[in-house]
Amino acid sequence: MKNTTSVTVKPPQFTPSGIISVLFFIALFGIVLTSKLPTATGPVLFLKKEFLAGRESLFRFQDTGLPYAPFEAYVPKKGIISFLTDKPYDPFKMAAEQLQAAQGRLIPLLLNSAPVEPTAILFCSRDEIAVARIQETGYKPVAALGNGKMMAEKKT
Amino acid sequence: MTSLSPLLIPAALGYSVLALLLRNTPLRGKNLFLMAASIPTGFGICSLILFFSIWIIPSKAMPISLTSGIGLTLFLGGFLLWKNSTEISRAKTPTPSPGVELFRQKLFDAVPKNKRTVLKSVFLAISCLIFLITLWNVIHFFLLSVSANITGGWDARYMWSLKAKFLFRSPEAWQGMFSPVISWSHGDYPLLWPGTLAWGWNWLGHESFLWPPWASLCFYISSVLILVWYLRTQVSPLAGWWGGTFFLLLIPPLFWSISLYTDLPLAFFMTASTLMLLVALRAGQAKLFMVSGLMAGLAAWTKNEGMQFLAVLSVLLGGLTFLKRQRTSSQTRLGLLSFLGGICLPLITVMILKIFFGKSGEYLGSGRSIGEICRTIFSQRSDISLILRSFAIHGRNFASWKGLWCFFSFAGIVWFFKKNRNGFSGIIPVLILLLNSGYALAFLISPANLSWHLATAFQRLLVHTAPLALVFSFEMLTFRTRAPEKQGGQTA
Repeated sequence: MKNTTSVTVKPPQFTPSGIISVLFFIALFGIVLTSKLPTATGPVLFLKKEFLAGRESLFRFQDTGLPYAPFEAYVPKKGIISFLTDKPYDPFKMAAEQLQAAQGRLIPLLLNSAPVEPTAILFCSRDEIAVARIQETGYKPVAALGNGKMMAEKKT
Repeated sequence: MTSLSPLLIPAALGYSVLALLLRNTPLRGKNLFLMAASIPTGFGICSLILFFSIWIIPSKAMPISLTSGIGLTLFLGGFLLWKNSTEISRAKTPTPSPGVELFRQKLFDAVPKNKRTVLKSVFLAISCLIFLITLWNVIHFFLLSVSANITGGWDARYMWSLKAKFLFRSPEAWQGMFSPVISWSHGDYPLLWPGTLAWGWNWLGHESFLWPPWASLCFYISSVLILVWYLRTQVSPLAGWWGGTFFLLLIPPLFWSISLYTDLPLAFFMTASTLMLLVALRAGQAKLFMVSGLMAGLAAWTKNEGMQFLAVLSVLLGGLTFLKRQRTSSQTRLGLLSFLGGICLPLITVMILKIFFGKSGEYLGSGRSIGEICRTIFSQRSDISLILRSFAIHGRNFASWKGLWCFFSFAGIVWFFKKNRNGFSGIIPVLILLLNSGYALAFLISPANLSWHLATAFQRLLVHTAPLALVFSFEMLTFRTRAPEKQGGQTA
């Protein structure tokens, strides 16, 4: 049998604790009445519908690793390669996200932000910048994917 | 709803484990507790199974973890059914089933005795309705928000999900997640959430974008239900519904849950562990201590902050056991031992992770000596004032917290002046104070820029103790119509 748990409910009394309780519930009621969540617009409602329907294909475009998919054909499945961008890696700059997004896409391959590995991915914003970065870091291009994106190998 | 199917085993496994641990205990609202805690506990156990599979037999970790999970669920579920059936057959006199008895009691309770009872029932029904409407709206908002940003925030994408991908894509090379080459991914972080994600992907056979939001929503709803359970059964039914509604209105827990961060899962385990410990201390039941220990262990398996929680709670319980030794020696000692028993498996797993794999760290694993850390703490007075100012600014932010921390502070004053401070209610404010002091120390010794660190992490850290602050506020500031659990109460 269940343990008897209730005790006699006392009516609110004009004691300090009774007054505090009444005021607390009044405050809560006010908070509930005045609280609002932001309203949503059409496209988001459509996305929610797709989410509930379990259709994933639309959400692939939100994957931050998608821009790095073309490199999958050129890189080894495992090991370590370098990943170079317009400027040298700085963990406190927003550009650091490129390395992290690429890493998420290419796991279990590890991406080193330093230009020290035999193979490197160049993920720059323009071809000219990519070429300049290749020269200053001692690599040579082996495949150009266009728009500043290249595969490179360390010069021997 | 295929993307929801990975929930099946964690829900059944978590339910079986908790139902077995809670058998023959006088826990009130057991079903509501099971409803709240089964899925998170199941996630914890499934992630542990996955970790051990991947550690011991990496080449076949995925099929082994699935088979073990299903096998363990069937075994424990079968054992639970067998235990329940033998108990029923052993009964000498026919008694109505608990369901029928409950229905009869509810029917009887539904008949109003006088006007006050009618008024109370109407007020309760309205409160319940407000809770359900708020819950519906918040879930709707959650789904809208995650649909617009399915990969979550920075940490979710580049730390938690990254680890999950290592576990799922490459069990043979999973240790790559600890490589110094990607030290920015925090190799020393525990793996409950990544393990949960990898479990779901393994079940579905692909890296589903939809699974992480569902898992996060489960933790969010569980956090709400655990508050409703405790307040309903330990304070009053009215406090239960209003406490749940109030939590649903708090923006930070919802926001970080939508962002797929692990702060709310940690908050869930910390809350469940503390609340169960309070009930266990009041009831003096060893099994309840064990459930509390299990939840504390899973908190440590969720985030590093969970280790701090585990240490603080163990010290508090140890202190209480020492103080109470004169009166009820064997019961309290048994309670402490049961608590430590519950902690065991998750804690051992965290230790394995920290000793053999994720050895680096910004704090204890940073290579700095204790003396250096102490010097850092005491040489930064301006930083201390900045941290204290952050507490004040965040605490007063009504748009985010709806006055929660003001209520909590006021509840602290009420508690201080209260004549009859029984029921171990003081544990919550002491715990909150110690945990947040620990976070303040961590800010001081962190190698990261303090302003940046406070801006990015402070609100999330407050989420950890927010449910407990809410419980304490309701315990101190509302009518208590429920008597505390009694020592050695009847079994249910």
